[in-house]
Amino acid sequence: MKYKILTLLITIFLLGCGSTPTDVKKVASLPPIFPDYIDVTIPAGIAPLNFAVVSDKEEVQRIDVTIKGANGDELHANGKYADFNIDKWHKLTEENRGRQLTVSVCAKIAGEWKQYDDFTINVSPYPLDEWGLTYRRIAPGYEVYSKMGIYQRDLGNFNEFSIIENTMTDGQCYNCHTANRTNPNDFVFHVRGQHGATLVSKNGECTWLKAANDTLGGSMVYPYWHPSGRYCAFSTNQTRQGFHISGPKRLEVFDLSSDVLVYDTEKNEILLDSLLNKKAWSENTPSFSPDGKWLYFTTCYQQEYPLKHKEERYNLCRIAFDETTGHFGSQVDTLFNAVDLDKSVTWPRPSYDGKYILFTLSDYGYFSIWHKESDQWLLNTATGEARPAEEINSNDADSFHNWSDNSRWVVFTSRRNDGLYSNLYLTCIDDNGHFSKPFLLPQANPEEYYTQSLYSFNTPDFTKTKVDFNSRAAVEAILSDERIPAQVR
Amino acid sequence: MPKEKQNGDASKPSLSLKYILTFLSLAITVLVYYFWAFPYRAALSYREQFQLFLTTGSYFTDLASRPGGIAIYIGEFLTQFFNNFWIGAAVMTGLMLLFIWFCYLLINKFAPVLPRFSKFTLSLIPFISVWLLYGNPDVTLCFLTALLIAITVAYVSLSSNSDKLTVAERYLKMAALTTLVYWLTGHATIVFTLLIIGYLCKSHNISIVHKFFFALLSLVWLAANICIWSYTLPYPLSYQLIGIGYLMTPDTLCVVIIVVELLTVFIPYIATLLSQRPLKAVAPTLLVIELIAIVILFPKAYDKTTYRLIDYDYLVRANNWNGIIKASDKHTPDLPLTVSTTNLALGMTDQLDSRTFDYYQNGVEGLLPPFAKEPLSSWTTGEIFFQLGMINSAQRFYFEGMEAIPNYNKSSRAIKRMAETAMIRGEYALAEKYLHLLENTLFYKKWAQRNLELIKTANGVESHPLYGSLRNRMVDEDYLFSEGELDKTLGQLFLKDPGNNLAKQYLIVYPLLQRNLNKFGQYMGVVTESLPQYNPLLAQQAVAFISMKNGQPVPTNIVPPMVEQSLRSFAQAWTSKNPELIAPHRRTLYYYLLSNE
Repeated sequence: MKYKILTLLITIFLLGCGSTPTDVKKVASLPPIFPDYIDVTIPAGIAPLNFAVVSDKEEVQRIDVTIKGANGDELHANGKYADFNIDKWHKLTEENRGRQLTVSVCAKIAGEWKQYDDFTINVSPYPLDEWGLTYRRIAPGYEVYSKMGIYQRDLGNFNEFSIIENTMTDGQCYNCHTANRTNPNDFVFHVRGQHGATLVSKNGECTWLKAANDTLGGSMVYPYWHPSGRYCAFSTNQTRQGFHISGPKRLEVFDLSSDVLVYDTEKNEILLDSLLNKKAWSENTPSFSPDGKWLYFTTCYQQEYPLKHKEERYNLCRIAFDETTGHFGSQVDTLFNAVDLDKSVTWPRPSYDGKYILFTLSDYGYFSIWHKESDQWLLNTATGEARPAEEINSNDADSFHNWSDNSRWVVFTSRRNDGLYSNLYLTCIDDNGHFSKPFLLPQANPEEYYTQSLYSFNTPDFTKTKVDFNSRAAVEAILSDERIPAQVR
Repeated sequence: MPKEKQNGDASKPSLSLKYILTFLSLAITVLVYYFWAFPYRAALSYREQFQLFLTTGSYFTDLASRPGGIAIYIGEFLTQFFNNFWIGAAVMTGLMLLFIWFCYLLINKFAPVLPRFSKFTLSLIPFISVWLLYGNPDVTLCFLTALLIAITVAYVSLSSNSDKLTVAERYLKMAALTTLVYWLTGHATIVFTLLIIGYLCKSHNISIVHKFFFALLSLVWLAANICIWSYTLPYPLSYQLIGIGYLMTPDTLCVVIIVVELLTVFIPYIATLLSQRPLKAVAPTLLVIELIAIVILFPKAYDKTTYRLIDYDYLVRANNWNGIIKASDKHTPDLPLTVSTTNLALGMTDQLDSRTFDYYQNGVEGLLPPFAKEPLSSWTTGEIFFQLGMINSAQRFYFEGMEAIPNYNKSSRAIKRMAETAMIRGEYALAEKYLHLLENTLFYKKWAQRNLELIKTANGVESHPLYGSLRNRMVDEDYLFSEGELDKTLGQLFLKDPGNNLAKQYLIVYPLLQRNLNKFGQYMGVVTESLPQYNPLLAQQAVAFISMKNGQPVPTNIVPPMVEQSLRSFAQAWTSKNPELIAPHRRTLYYYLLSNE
């Protein structure tokens, strides 16, 4: 008898909790969800797009979500937020490749269940073959940085792994982790500070270069690999910072000087060219065309800093490069004249199929993440025409980006969420060169994660497989200060 | 004191001894509480501001996934109560009494026949060492939490009946508990291990060989735990050995921590030795030694200069301007931080333009200190910018101060100000992020909710008495911050809002601190254009000084006779070159202008 009473009490308690929607009231609007995954396009096999319903006025007590595939399969989640089963989610997205998922959301607010209009999630026909992403996480500070590191994230789930963290070496700065066309076996990154170095890792073999080259008068900064894997281009930015006394911007990053160079990993040699080392000009942010025949870079007329920092404007240019001899062409072509538009180009990244160059455009300067007006622009290499990628841009800074190996997916940083902390967004490009609505990198509990995170994601890139890096050995090498000086040709 | 196992007459206290022990226990409780609630309350605020304890599940799981994380979690949980110094002092007192209690229990376990008074006085030795240790403001509460966990598990383990265990079971139990304690506390496990080994060693029923192997294997197992965890932790091995989370400076070896641990371990052994030859004089002698140790070591442990800085920082955080002035009247501010905060306090109470030179000055850096990669200096300077209406700069200094916390923690104090600066700047999405974050705290939740409401209310921020006025004070023209030209920004702040008294006073005092009387004349002209009646004491003194220097009559419409008289008196003393006559004038504008001090 007492068990019956207990069962009855538990049943009443559970009914009282109201975990399943009853007496549902229809609401003629889309659900206010975070992250905004309404009508986004995702690759099959991505981590579940967990989300929460957010309400400014009343606490959302519970939500009930059903996702239906075109073939009738369903996935259900019920809780404080939508937390989907990973395996079932993968199955559903794989089975609905190239089709739509319909999402029905009910939310219990102030004791009352509400059902919102359904929305869709598009599963792209194009695969995202990469295992995951690499990125740096650092607080979006000024001069001081606390904990930071380079990390990798499995895109199929929520697992994040550190590649290297500065807590291992008493607070060094690590930056610009750059792989060769998403291949984790070839990569570079920089170590700044007391034990500074540039690491060039090829097939697991690490070369620790001197951080600063006396002949160049600066460090090797902003790398990009030649597709052959033999060369890596860098700029040599002599960076300074300035802090806004008023207005919406916080800080400026500008260069007292900068050139572009190519490092030959086989000969340990730095290749220079007078066209990339002009005294009155600052060359910056290099990248190679996917066929390796062109070196793209940005260049601006050197300004008087910090007084005229707002007149620092970069154009997008290119110069021929011969990988067999390591020689540059004799002429520089301007691909996009941003100065004519009173704008400035930064971060040119050609798609690996050679069709496009994605770059960031802002009012001035090149450190676009601190420029609210910065946007993504897409240049069609066949026509030479460039357009603002309005379908992925926001009112806040949209900045650094990289392509997936099949040139169908782009990951980019954006501050659209809160205006300061850069997060990662993914988008898909179709055959006509149009991007899909970008979606925020999924997290297990996205509302809690993004509210609590006091870090920015930056320099993101795709990685074909997990980066296999012995961080303990790297720390020993960093602390040893044994560095190889690169020779200048 | 706890009830104990009575073994023999020696441990039975007489009635008078009972009263003495009760009195001593009460006296210690009152003394410790008073200590933290009154003279050293600022140290509580100091520790609290270097963490952002969140009540979320992920905050717990993140910490719980590493060794010592539980101790850090509990330590931070308790530290958040330092926000209120009445509760904070109670927490400190509670933990310290708990520590004495467990030390006493361990001593009783090791030497049950020792007289009660001796046990009590012995248990005070580790307690005193802990008290002195916490004079180092960089030692977090996580250490004491870890130590308490380690000795609690050791005591419980020693109290459980292990006699029936087989040798294998004994080894397994030790291995399991070592792993558990290492996960709970980290480095403090050494205290647990040594206590268990020590207790075993004092047993007469176990062979020396067994004792040796047990000790050896226990230590090897502890080392193995450290090594295994080191592969998963993003820290150098040395951090693990020092104790992750015990100090705000994770790479610093704190010798006193080791001393505390050694005392915690060895006092029970000493008790065992004393119990073999009980002497009546032990307890009183110990008490005297302890008192002498406190008298000698306390000034070193609680360094006056350090605590002066902590006091000023606390007063700035509480915006207790009169408190700062009172402190500066008591002790001349002579450190960069105390000078700049005294000037801020004078400015906030409308006294800067009359009393600046009542205190030691170190140039314009005493008004607006340059950026230093260090939290305290960053935050106090950030507060100056905040009160002036230089909100962008205040935001930067609070942000940078937080990032400069050496143990990579975030800061509740900084996040709160950063939320405010974001609100004032109209960055509502960012402010919301910070406020939602603070909603996950115990002490800032209500404040965060109030401000979330404020953001959502139409014109809420604009009409807020503080945020609205600070927004109105912000200069319109945007340019890049230049440390050498901050007087121009002060001028712009004044022109934007002539009611900005702080900017007005800083503008007038700035050139005086540069000893630039021409510039002073210009700035005074700017101010009097908007406020014709403005004629503070420093302006009167400066005008009198300029007139006398130029051989012109002192303008009596600006300079009252008293000021003129004071200048003449100074001039006489100065020309006499007699240090004794000059000495009374050292704290004047005149002396500052002529001397190079």
